[in-house]
Amino acid sequence: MSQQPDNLRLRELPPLTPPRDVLPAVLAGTRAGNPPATPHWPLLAAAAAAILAIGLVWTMRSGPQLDADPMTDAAGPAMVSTESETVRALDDWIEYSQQLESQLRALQPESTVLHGHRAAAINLLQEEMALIDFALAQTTQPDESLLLWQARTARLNDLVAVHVASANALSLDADRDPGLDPVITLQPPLAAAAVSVQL
Amino acid sequence: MTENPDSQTLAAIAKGCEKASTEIFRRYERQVYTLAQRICHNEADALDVLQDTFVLAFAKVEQFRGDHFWAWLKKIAVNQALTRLRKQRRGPLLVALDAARNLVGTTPSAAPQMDLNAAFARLAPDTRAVVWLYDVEGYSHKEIAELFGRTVSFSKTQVSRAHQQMRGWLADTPQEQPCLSNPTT
Repeated sequence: MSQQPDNLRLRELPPLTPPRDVLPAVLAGTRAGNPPATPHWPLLAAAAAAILAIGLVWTMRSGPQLDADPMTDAAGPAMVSTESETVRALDDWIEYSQQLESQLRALQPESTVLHGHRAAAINLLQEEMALIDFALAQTTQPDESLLLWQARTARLNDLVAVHVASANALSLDADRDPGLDPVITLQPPLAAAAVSVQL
Repeated sequence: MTENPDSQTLAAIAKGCEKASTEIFRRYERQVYTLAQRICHNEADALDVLQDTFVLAFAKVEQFRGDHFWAWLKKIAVNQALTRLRKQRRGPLLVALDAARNLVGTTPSAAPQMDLNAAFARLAPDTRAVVWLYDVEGYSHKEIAELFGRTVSFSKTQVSRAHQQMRGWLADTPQEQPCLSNPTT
């Protein structure tokens, strides 16, 4: 099938040419000796949200002076305000999720010996997370993203808990009957998201 | 495969020689821009990535150790591009507008055929980046997972489903549609 998007086909897409020459800007930047700083997105996003909120309050106090942008006008100030809060909350959840990912990596899950029921729980959680990740990649709606990130974090929390329990069980008693291990209860997605992390 | 720049050229860049910088820039600019454009899918961001990548690379060229300059440069470019992608993610309106623009630009109304380029462009932003890194740039699922701060299964699922989606889109494309074909061609 020549239509299949296999690796070679994507690799064969032609290289692209920049529409304008940025060499002068590169040389100027190099001369100035100011490499672009890596931005700290959560802080920047929080700052942007705060600036937006302050700007909105100021605008509302001084009358309806919003720029005539049909896209923003359609949403209205209240919607924008809500969206900025959502974006800020989103940042918090993403940051928390990244912390959990780091914690999970530190546990070196691939080197842990797992009992059957724990392995099954981990597989289930990973599969669910993969589905959530896929849904996350499809959406551009902040509200929807927030719900998905909360659901993802809940599963990540559970995943860390399962690995911690496995590590503890192995270190305490390597020969222990897996049937005697504490039962790990998987909570329903949104309920888990609501209780597992307090924003 | 682009030949590695010699150590004298790199040493000259470290000393601020603009001729050497220009030589290296010209040698790699299309590769970096292509990577940036495929990941960001936005011309302005891709140009910013191109510029920032080289400014950063030239500033840190003394830190380059090894034989694979392109791999080192690519790493910088990928980090810059993913940073831009995250920024896009926080601006859903811009992403939607960009996607709409891409759709208009890649799908002529008179001939609704979808080539690989258009199918790739239709993928969600993160998915597109993952697929490009995996399929073209040769990153492993583990490396992609680390770049995105996600699990390996995230990368695997993204690639697998993206291939499936693209196959579906390409298969749906009518091979011959005389009634819809552009009469000027």
